[in-house]
Amino acid sequence: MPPTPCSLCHTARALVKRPKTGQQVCKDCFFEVFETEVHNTIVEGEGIFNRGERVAIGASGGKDSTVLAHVLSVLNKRYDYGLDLYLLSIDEGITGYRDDSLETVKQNQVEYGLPLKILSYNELYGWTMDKIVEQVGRRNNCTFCGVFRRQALDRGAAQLGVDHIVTGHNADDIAETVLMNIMRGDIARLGRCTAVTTQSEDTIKRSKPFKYAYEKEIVMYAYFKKLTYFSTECIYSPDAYRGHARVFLKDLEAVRPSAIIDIIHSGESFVLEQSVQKGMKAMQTCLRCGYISSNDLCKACALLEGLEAGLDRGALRQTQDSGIAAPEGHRTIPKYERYGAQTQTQVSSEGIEKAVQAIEIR
Amino acid sequence: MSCGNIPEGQGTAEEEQVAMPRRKQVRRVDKNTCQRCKISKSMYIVRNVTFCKPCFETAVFGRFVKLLHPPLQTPQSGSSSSRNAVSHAIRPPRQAGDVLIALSSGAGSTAMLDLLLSRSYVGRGDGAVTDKTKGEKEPIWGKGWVVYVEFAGVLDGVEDRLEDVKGWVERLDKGLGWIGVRAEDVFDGELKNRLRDIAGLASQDSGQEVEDTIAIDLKDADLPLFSTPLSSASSTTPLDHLRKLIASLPPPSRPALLSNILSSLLTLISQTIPNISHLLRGETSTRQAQRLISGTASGRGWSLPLELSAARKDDDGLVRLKPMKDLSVKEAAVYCNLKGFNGFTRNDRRWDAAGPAGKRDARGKGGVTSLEMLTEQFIAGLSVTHPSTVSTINRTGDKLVFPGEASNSPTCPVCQLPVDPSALEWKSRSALTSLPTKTNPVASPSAGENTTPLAPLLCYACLTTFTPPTVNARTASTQNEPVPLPLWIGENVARQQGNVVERATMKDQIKDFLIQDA
Repeated sequence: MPPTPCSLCHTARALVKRPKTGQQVCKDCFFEVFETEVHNTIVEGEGIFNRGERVAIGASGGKDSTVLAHVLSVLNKRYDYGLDLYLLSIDEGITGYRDDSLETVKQNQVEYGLPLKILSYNELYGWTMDKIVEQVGRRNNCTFCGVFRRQALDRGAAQLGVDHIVTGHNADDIAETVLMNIMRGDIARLGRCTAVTTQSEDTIKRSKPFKYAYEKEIVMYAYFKKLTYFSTECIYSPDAYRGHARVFLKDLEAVRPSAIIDIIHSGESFVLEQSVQKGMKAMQTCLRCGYISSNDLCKACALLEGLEAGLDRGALRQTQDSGIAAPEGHRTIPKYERYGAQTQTQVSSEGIEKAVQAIEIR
Repeated sequence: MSCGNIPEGQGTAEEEQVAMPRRKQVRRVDKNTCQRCKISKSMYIVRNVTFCKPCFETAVFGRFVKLLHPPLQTPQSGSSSSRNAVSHAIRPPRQAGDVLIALSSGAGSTAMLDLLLSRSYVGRGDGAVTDKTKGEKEPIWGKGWVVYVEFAGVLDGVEDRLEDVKGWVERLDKGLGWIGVRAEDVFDGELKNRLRDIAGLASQDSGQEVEDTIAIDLKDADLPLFSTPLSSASSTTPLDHLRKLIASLPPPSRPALLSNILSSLLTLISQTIPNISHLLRGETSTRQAQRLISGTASGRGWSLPLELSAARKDDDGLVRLKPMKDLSVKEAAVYCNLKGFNGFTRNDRRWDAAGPAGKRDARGKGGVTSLEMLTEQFIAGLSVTHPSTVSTINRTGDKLVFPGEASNSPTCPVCQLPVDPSALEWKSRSALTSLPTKTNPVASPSAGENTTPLAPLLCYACLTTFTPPTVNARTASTQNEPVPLPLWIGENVARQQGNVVERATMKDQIKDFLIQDA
């Protein structure tokens, strides 16, 4: 049987079957089509980036962020976006998981020549995930990690002086979130989870350039580009409910591969009732740490207060209406200041590791 | 004598902490007694509440009318927001038209039909005057028609129940009109005349022959349509055409086609039978939740709010109602059991069994080949550990609104719902199937022929249904045989292209040249 020709160039031999379209394509065409799709996502509408923007790539050392760092570097040069790219990693303090993956990030930092900033939970909150799990148990520990990570990324970005964070959320992650938000009735999140860029008044802009990229194609890209990444599930078991949605999504994908992208299309089409939108709480700043919040206290401050009080899972139910002052003896989160308040010189000398300061990105 | 505890909420936080924690009051109920009447022995536990038989029936009826009554109230009788709370409790006035009741023989539609008949919502169509002094209730609709669509012809191993259902409806002896059609009738140009016969109207020469219908090349991503007569032998039956179409589609797309066939037949019947003002479908909350999730997974997000709504009015004035939307399939099944309909109802519609098995069959979980069946199983499984799954999903669905303008937007010729803007463009941008710098244009098999592409007219979900799963270099160069499309799709395409000429108009133009006997 003669080799199958590439469906795109019709000359080279097809080497892969694209999980997204089922097309059989050669390696070069796969790279091109993958990168072009990411570029299309970036320039769609008014575009994700502004010229001259300082952009931090949320880097975990996993496949998504590793490929994102690579692809963004390539596209930045190819299409001349004019971006200053940085790597920003959060160390949650999970022994045997995050410490290993951060080694991969450091390796990536050298390979792509991007400055790196690592911010740890321990530094910011005085707690590591190891200690949190020890106190609250495995159940629901993802809530602590998720809330803390979101704020840590914003704070890390502020320290780097960047005005934009890009994350490696892929199409599978977004489709999974759409399903999960429908199933648990989280209307507020359903309304915004498919947006390629999210930004409220006082938070740093966040974007997902891999919004339409299938997880399998990201792995495929990393494999053929010989990119190194760390691949292990978090040792503190995944969110059980998200697990249901994930398994279901994989089943849907097995039946119809386009299901992932179709779910995102549906999610983009959803419009919520006016009354539901009006019912959502207005945003303010946390009285204690100054971070964006819909209550007097942000969720991170409330969780931290619960942990400091020695509560186990009860820390999750800690009220967000406490006063400005933390109980005596409790550690608090440092005051949050947006990057605008900091000068460029402070940024260059503070956060970025000396080893990479001299690396010329362009 | 006080125990010294500070009443809740009245002391400071410290004081309340010092005080002994109050034990939450748990209402103790006797599970053996009906919690509604508190007298009879309980028979059913539904949503954690025990019911005796009469109380369960009343509770089901209460939730049924909560959705049925408000859209039937006149503006004066109070469906305004201030009166919404009571509008469902008031029996609506008599409606101007008749009602078409879709009966699938599932628990939802069977229970719905019984609720309508047992409370005298549907008259016998004989114009009989009700004597309110004797406690008789005036029917809401003067006459009711029951429509049953049989899919057994295209589902392997599914029993044909058309005659059984007809017999059951006739035995009810409530003066209901009976319309039994088959899925393959979507290819039958004589269906309209058959329906007119049933309604006692004279036949019209509007019957399109199957050979006049349009055909589609499903292997080509543009989905070219061919208006040329089909070369198939005259002995080919509508069932053959439908089977061929189903076999040409990938297995995951087949249930969506069957769902569209059901909707199109119901629409056609409601338009052909005179004086139909309301169409009632017995979709339960369980089915609605499945529809929301599988619709989302099919990319139907744009028109889902219209599909899910409990009451929707078409441009031609037909009101589509889903009064069972608040009841789960389990509650409907319990109701049917209570009424002794167990022998009649069938809840498994098995649309997964349509057509021959595809190559990809083995990839689906447990051999499941459709998103719909997968969703059904998933929701059933999740409901075991999370009992509020169905109601939570439906609550989410209720908060979605249609983002476009239902009356002005173009409709999809297949599902007949509004088309989402630039579906084709969105698809081609987010999942590239060609590269301008590399891909040489491959001549489509239909290139050079006078064809119209169907793809630009379709909504996103129907585009997904009809698009071949893979567009490869090899398949693009092979000649494919077009398959016929159901008549309603051809009519809608022609209408959208603005060149539809009714058969009656044609006949009028050539009437002087027609020989009567021919």
